[in-house]
Amino acid sequence: MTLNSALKLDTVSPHRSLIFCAIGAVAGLAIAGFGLFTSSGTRTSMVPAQDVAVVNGVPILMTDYVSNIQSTYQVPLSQATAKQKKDMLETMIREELYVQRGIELGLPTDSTEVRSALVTGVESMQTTDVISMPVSDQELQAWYQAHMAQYNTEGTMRADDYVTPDLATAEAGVQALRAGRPVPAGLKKSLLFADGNEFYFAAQIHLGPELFKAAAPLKNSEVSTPVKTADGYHVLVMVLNDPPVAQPFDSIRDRVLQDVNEAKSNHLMKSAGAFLRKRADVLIAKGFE
Amino acid sequence: MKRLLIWSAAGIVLAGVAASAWLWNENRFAVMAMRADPAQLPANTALFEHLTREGRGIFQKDCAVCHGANAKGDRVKGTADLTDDDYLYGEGELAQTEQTILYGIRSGDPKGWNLAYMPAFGTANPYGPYKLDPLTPGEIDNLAAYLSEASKTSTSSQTHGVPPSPAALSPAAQAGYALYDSKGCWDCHAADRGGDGAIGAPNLVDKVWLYGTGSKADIAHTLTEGRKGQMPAFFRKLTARQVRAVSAYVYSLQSHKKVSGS
Repeated sequence: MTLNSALKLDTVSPHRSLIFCAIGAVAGLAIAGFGLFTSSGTRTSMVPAQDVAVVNGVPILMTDYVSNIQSTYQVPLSQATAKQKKDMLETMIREELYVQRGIELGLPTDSTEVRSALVTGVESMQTTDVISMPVSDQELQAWYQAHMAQYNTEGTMRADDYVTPDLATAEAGVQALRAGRPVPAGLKKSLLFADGNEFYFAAQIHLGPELFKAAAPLKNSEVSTPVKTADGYHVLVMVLNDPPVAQPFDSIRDRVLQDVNEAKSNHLMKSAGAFLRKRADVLIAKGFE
Repeated sequence: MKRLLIWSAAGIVLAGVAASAWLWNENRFAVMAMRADPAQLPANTALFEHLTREGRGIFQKDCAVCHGANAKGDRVKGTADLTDDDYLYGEGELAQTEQTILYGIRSGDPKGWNLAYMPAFGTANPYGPYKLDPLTPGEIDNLAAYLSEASKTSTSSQTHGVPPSPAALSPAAQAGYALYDSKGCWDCHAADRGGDGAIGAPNLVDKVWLYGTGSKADIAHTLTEGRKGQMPAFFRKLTARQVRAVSAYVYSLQSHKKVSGS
């Protein structure tokens, strides 16, 4: 008697087929039910290789565990004691449990700090996503061309500043300076630019808006006309004026990349806000629309 | 017909067994690779080489666009040379590389490196997080002269600065030497000019430059405009295993590190 004939597999039996189908269906339903209706049924039976633990299905990354041990105990994983490893793991499990408990208790709804942290976290995630997308050189060049003026150098200047209380002395001083003669006695040299060249932003603060407006267009060695300010009449002799100039792309490529990413990030946040608003069911009390 | 069915069934079972064996081996490898202390991985030659081979392909796809196919970096883009023994953050350990890949540098991820950036001392507000005074063009010029001369003549190691004696410097560089202390550069770059790996402040007196060539003009540009480079966080783009593989590959590029038997 062969195995086939003993099991009667060499004959077709509808009755046996039905029994096997029924057994399979019952087994399948039992497995599905166990999985659907029990927490242990949905539990991952093994901890994935990249995790050190799984807490209610949420993984704790091995890399974070190793990093925390290093930063807390100043030793690599292999040199940490059993107690240190256990303590760190317990700390991280406790943190995860409390996070999950906080969500269950509705802390994202009730606690201001949690809400702020969540908003910041979502915004950070949007920034992270933007920065993780490579930006082509063409895109950077296009941005640079469209915003070239904001990448100009600052500009530097140094001038001799003479001041007098009366206009006649100032005008005489202008004539003398332009002719290369000594300045009149009443025209005093101020202490501006005593430290040498200054960037335009600093010169603007030190000169004040009227004087800076007069100084900016002066060429090297040029003498200004008298400029009236609160402390008298000023005559400027430009020593060195290096106005802002465009910077070559390669020298400010990193700034352009930052600005492109920042613009994308802001755009993404705005779009995300609009998307969330659109798909949300928001009801506003009457009179507060 | 029956014979065909039997052979087909046998084939399917064999294929299933082979697939299971492969999956089991992959999982065993994954467990060995992921559960090991990263610091000990290079000592396990077979495992490390397997990871390195995996990491090479991922590097070419995701990292070479910034760091170059040869991982030598780019001094225009300000991306680091990953093959040398100079590290902006940490000491180049495998676990540290993993953290940097996962969470980035000034990437927006709160776990990323984000403690400081180089202020733009040629602007009205050099540093966003708190008030810093700008420098004058003359001060920037002197500091640049100092740092350019110091890096050319110093004998510092990659982790400790050994600035040359001021007497050996030009007058402008001597003025810059004094400015380094009086203007607070030591706060980030350390009193010995050796930098600080905890915040990504580079060693200023070695011969390694992230931007430019270490010329006075390049240094003056950095002092004036500041630097705020970014590295993306790959936490959501790469799996933990891929990150470990890339980290192993980067580690293997650094010939000064002992890969096996250490």
